[in-house]
Amino acid sequence: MNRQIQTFLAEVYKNKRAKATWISFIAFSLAPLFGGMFMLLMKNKGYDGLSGVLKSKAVVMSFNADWSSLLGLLSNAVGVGGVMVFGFVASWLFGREYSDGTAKDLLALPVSRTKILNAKFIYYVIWCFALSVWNLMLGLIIGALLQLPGWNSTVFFDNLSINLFTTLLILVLNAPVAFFAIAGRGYLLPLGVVALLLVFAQIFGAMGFGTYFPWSIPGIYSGSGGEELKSQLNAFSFLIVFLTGLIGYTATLLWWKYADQKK
Amino acid sequence: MTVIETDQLTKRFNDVIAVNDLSLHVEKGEIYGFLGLNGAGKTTTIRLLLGMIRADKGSLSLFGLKISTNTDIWNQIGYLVETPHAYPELTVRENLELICRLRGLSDKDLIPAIIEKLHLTPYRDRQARYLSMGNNQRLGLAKALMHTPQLLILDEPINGLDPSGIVEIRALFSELVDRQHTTIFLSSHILSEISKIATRIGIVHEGRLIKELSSGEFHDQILKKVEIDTVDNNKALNILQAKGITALINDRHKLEITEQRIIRQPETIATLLVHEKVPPKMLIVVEEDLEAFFLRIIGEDKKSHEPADTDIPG
Repeated sequence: MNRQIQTFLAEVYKNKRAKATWISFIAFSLAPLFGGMFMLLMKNKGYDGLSGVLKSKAVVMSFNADWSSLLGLLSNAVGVGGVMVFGFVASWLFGREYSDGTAKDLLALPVSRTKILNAKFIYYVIWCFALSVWNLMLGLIIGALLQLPGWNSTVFFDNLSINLFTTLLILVLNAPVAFFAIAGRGYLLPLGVVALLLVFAQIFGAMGFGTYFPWSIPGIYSGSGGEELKSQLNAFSFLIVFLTGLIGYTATLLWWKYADQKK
Repeated sequence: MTVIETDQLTKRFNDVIAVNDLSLHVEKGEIYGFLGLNGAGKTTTIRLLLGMIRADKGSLSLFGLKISTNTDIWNQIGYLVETPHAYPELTVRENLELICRLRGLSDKDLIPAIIEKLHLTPYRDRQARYLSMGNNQRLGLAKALMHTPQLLILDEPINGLDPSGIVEIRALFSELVDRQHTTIFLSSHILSEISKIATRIGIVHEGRLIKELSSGEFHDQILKKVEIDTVDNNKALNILQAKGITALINDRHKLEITEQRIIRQPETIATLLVHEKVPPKMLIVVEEDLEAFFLRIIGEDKKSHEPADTDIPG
């Protein structure tokens, strides 16, 4: 356990000046900022303050300029944007060792390869949870500044649990992205995979199979497809997500431990 | 004590046999030079030794232990594979600190000591991305050396170093062997450098170890010739031939003798020519160019593996 902690701390040390950290936080700041702007427009002029797709979406989702809508928007942002941003984090974290040429320095050390990989996964989980918390905190600050009505602890904790569970689902789902980073020896392949998965998530969602396509499920759970679609999610949907994550983690570990490392 | 032992190690990448039946024995305190052309199988062998790739056939052990079952073994090994890389946004010192953490080293003096040893002090706070190729190589060597390993496995360790850097590293390797009895396994295609520091040399070609020889044997097997320049080389040639010495005038218009007895005692020729009133202006024993030696060995190996000519009945 002590060696695992040391290896994790080495991972933290390694990434202390990583630009990717700031890029991911900036990317995840966009949702609360746009959500706040959305609320500001709604607060002043109702649906008339919006136009085009935003207006249609607001009407369909029965958005109002209140805390419930803002917190719901933040969860939607995690559910959809999280697949992309967390995917970017996983791609970078696992792929950088190959892109920087440092992977070979990690392969013959007096610490097992499993611990090195687990340190990365732990770092990835903490990083992504920090992004979700940041997203939520920024949203809370913006909501408070806008003096949105409808605050109560039930609304907050309901949305908090949705937000955190959505985060968890996406975290689990991006384990295969780590595999593509390691097997593809860099971050280009996993980034391509993330983009492709997002497209497929949309296609499967539109075809009505979203509740069984892993990468559509977090978005649906976060409420971005509406409450009716969300109610179609069942235990099997979540099992698919966790099995996908488990397969991704196992494949990453096996590849890292046993595949020929030629780069 | 055998530090590196491989037995019929074989690695294939699709149709290409990168390492073919390689059997190596490297003893403690040796500097083993692993020579080969680009693509000969040097880096693949090093990756096999470090457990980065898996052999299709054969066995290997370091310090008598199978590497696949033991991570503690890496405490005794430092390595450098191909071009060294470091985390670009971290400084030299931070990159070394990171290796300390990964290796579980807590001695705070290790980093300043290795920085000084590798002459990286002026660059210790410079981000790795801004290092020159030579200093990047030094940083790679520092990472390999900082835990005082008993075995160093180095792939082209002098690449990118300037001449003074090469001399420093050569001296450092000698010091490690002399003081700490470190075993060094290093690959290179720079033959002159290997010949200066290696105690034993293995020549690998197309994945096979085609020749293995000690430093002494290596120097003995290098072809030598005596080259002479006199005021009248034609006259000198006639004198030598009259004395039964096989000589010729080469394309540089110098007298050339390849007879072993003359090479062993070149002063006899000098005495003869002075006596015959054609004193030499220059007399040197020229060693075969190392590249030429290397290519000769590879050529001999190719010939020995060519199928014998068969007569086709008419």
